Amino acid sequence: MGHGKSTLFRSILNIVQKDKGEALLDNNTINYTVLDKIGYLIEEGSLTPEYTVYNQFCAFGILKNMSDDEITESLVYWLKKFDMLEYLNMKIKNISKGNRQKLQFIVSVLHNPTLLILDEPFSGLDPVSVGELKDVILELKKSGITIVFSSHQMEHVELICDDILLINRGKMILYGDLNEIKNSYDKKKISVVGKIDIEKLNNENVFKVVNDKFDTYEIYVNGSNNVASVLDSIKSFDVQNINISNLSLEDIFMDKAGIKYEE
Amino acid sequence: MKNKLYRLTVLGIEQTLKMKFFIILNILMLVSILGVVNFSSVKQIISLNFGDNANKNILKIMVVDDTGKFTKLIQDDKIKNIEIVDYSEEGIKKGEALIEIKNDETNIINVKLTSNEYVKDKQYFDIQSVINKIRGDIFSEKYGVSLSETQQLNNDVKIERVVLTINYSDYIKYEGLVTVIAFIMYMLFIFVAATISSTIGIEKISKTTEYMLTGISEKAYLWYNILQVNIVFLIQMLLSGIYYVLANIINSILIIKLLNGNVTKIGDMVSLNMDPILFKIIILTIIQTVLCVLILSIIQAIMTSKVSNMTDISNSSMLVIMIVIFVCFVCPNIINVSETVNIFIKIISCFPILSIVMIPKLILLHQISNIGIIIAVAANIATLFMLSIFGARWFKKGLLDSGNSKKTDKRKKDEIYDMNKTKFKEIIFKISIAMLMYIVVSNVLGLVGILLKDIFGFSGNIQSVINIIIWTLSILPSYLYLRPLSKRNKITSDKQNIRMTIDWITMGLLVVTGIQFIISLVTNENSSFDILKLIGADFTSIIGISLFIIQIAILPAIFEELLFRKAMLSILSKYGNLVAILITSTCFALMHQNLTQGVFAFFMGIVLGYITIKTKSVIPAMIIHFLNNFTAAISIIALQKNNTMITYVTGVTITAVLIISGIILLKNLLKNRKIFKFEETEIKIKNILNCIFTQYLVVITLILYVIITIYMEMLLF
Repeated sequence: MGHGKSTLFRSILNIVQKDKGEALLDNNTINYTVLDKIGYLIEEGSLTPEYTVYNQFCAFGILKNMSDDEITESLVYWLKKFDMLEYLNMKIKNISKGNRQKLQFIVSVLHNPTLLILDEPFSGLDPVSVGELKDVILELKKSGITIVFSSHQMEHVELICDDILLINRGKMILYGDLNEIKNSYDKKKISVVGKIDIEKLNNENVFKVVNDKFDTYEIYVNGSNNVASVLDSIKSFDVQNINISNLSLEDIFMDKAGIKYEE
Repeated sequence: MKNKLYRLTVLGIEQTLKMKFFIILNILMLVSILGVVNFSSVKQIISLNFGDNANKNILKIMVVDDTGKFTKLIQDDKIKNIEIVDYSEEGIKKGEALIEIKNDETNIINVKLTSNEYVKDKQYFDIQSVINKIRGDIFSEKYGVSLSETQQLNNDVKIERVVLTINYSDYIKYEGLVTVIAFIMYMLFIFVAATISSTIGIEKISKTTEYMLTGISEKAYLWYNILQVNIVFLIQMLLSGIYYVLANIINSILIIKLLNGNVTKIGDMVSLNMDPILFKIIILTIIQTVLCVLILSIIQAIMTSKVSNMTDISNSSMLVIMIVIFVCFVCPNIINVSETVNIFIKIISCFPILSIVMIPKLILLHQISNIGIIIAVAANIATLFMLSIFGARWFKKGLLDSGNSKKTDKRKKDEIYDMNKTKFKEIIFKISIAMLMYIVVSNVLGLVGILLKDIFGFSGNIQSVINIIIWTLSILPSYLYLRPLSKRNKITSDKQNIRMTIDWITMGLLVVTGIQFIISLVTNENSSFDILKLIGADFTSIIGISLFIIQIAILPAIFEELLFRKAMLSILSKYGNLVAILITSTCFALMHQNLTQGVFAFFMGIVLGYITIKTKSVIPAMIIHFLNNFTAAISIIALQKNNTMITYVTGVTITAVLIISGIILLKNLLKNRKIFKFEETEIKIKNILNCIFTQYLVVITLILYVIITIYMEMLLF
C-alpha cells in the first residue's frame, strides 16, 4: 500500500493534478476527448452493487461517448468471450468476486481503447480464470493496443510485458526493456539440492544464500565468470542436483529494492 | 461533455423510474390519495344504499321537560338523527339517552343528559343549539326582549385593529401560510438530502466514482447526481398532483351521482381570482425552493463525498438536516408581529437559504421592498454559483480520499502532540499566570487611581498622565513575564514585500471596521462612551487632546500588540497557528473586562493574529490597532466638542478607506486565493481543551475574569 502505483495511473488519467511533468498520448495532452480512448481497470473494483450489469455498462459506455447500439454490441461480444452472457440482467451484488473482476476487465475494454491501463487485473481470480484473462490480454497486445499493467506477481509481468518500471516507495528504481535488463544483470542463481555448509561456501563472489527449505539452497553469484569457482567449492559437499539460471524478475526486484515485498 | 451529462442524467432517471420500489410507491400513493379524497362520498353512498345502517346513527331520546319546548323545537328544526321516544321505566338501553330539563333561578335552565354510550359530537351539538334556543325563548319571555336582541349581546364586540407602521391584515389572513411553507420545505429538503447521500455514498464506497471521473469532469459528475435526484423528485411531485386532480374528478362524479347533478362545477374549485400578495409569495417560494434545493444538494454531495463506509453515509446528512431544522423551525420565529422588524433581521432575512421562510413572513407584514426580495434571490443565486465552482473541487477531493491517508496523518499529529503535551500545558499555565497578574495589577492600580483622585482632587492633564502611568504599569508586568519565553521560539521573519504588507493592513482594517459595524448594529451602543466616564480627560487644550490620543490609540496599539501578538502568539504558534490565534484572541477579549468590547476584541484579535502570522511581523497589527482606536478617539473628541466637521471628515475617511480596501480585497481575492491559505493545526481541539480546563489556575483565572467583567457591567449601568 502506498508505493504510488494508483497515484501514477490517476495522474496519467488527469484525475489528480500533477505536481510536474506531462502525460501525452499520441502527442496529445490528455483531455476528455483523449480520455475516451483510454481504458482503465481499477484495482479494487468500480461496480455499483445496486445496479444490474446492463445498466452499469450503459452508464460506463456513455462516459466514453459510445452510442447505445455500440454499447450493447460490444458488451454482448465481451460477455460471450468470457462465457458470461447469462449475467447480463443480474444485479452486480449477486455476482461472485472472480466474475466481478472479469466484468471489471470488460469495463476497461468496452470502448476499444488505444491505451489500456490495468491495475492488478488478476487479483481475486482462480487459476483457470487467470489463464483465460492472460490469453485475452496477450490477444489484445498482438492487436496493437498499448497496455500499461501493474502487478505484484512477477511471473505475470515477465509473461506479458515488454518494458518494465519498478516503483518502490514512490521512487522509480528500474526502467527499461525487460530482456535487456535481464541480460545486463550480470548475476547468476545456482539452485542446489544437498547438504552444504554455508560458512565454508562464503567467498567474495557469493552475495546471498537463501535456505528456504531443508536441503535446498539458492546461491546468488556476482558475475557469470565466477560461477565456475563457486561450483568448485560446492563440489566438496554431498550434492544431488545443481541448476544454474539467470535471475528472475522477482530476484532483480528484491535485489534492487533491498526488501522482501509484503503483500 | 454536455452531451454525456445529458445522456447520463436521462439514463439515471430512466433507471429510477423503472425500479420496482418507485412503481409500488406510486401505486400506494394513488390508492391512498383516491381513498382520502373520496372517503366521505363513498361513505355516504354506502349509507344511502344500505338504509339499515343509517338507522344506527339515530339517537333515541327520552325527554323529561319542565319547559315543554324541547320536543317541538326538535321537530321544527328537522333534526334527522334525533328521535323522540316515550319515557320507559326500563332504563336507558343501547342507542338511547335521557334528557332532563329543569327551571332554575340563576341559570334559567339546568340540563342533564344521560346516555348509554358516548353521544356523537354532531348530535350533541344539535342538542346544544336547541337547548340554547330554549334558554333564549325563556329569557325573552321573562324580560320582554326579543330573541335577536339577546343574541346581539352574545357576540364579541368587533375591534378593528389599525397599526400605522405595520400592515396586519394580510398577516392575519394568511397566518398559517409560512408554517405550511416551512413544513413542505422541511419534508422536501430532508428527502432530497437522504436520497443524494445514498446515491453518492454507494457510488463512492464501490469506487464507481473514480471510474466516472475518467470520463467526465467532477463538476459534471456533481451535477449529474444532483439533477438526477431532483428531476425524479419533480416527476414524483407532478405525478402526485395528477393523482390529486384525478381523485377530485372521481369525487365530483360520485357527488353528482349522490345528489343528482346539484354540484358546483370542477372549474369553480380552482379559483383564478388569487390575492396578488399570495400570488407573489407562491411565485417567489417556487423560485427560492428550486435554488435552495440545489444549494443544499451540493452541500450534501460535498459532505457525502467524504464518507468511507456505510455508517458514515447516514451521518453525512446530519449537517444538512441541522441546517434544515434551523431554517424551517427556528428562523420563522425570529420575526415576531409584536416586535418591530429592525435592520438586523432584514439583513438576516436576505441570507441564502434562510430567506426561503423569512421573506414570505416579511412580505405578509409589508416590511420588505421588492429590492430586498431581489437581493435575497440574488444571494441564493450567487451562493449556488460559488458552490458549483468551489464545491466541485471539494467534492473531487473528498471522492478521491479513501480515508486511509488521513489516519496515518492523524497518528503522526498525535505523536507530535504527545511530545509537546507537557510543554503545552506548562505554557498555558504561564499564560494564565500572566493574565492573572494583569487582572490583579490593573484592578488594584485602578482603585489606587480613584483613591488618589478623591484625595488630591486631580483633574485634567495630571489625571490623564496618571491614567497613562497606571495603564502602562498594569500591562507591563505580564509582558515582561512572557517576553523571555517568546525569545526562544521567535517567529522567523523573512523579508516581506512592502506592497503585500500594505494590502494586508488595508484588508485587516476593512474586516475590523466591518466587525465593528455589525456589532454596533446588534448592540445599538457605542462602547467608547463608557471609557470616557472613567477617563475624565480635558479636551480644551492641545496637550489634553494629545494625551488622550496617546492613552486611547498609541499606547494600546504598542503594548497590547507586544503582549498578545508578539509574545503570546509566538509562544503558542509552535503548537498550531489556529490554536494560537484562538487562545490569544480569547485572552485579548478577557483583558478588556467589558462584554461589548470583549466580543469586538475577540474578533479583532483573530484578524490581527492572522495578519501577524501571515506577514510574520507585529507592525501591521500595530498599525491596524492604532488606526482603529484613533478613529474612535477622533469621534469621541468630535462629539465632546460638538464639532460636526471632524465627525464628517472621519466619516468620509472611513468610507474612503473601506472602499479602497474593498477594491484591494476583491483584486487580491480574484488574483490568487492561495495567499489566504492557512497552515493547519497540529493538535486536536479536544486535547487542547483537555489541556486548558484540567489546570486549576487556568480555571480560576477564567472565573475571576468573568466575575470582574460582570461586576463592571453592573457598575456601569
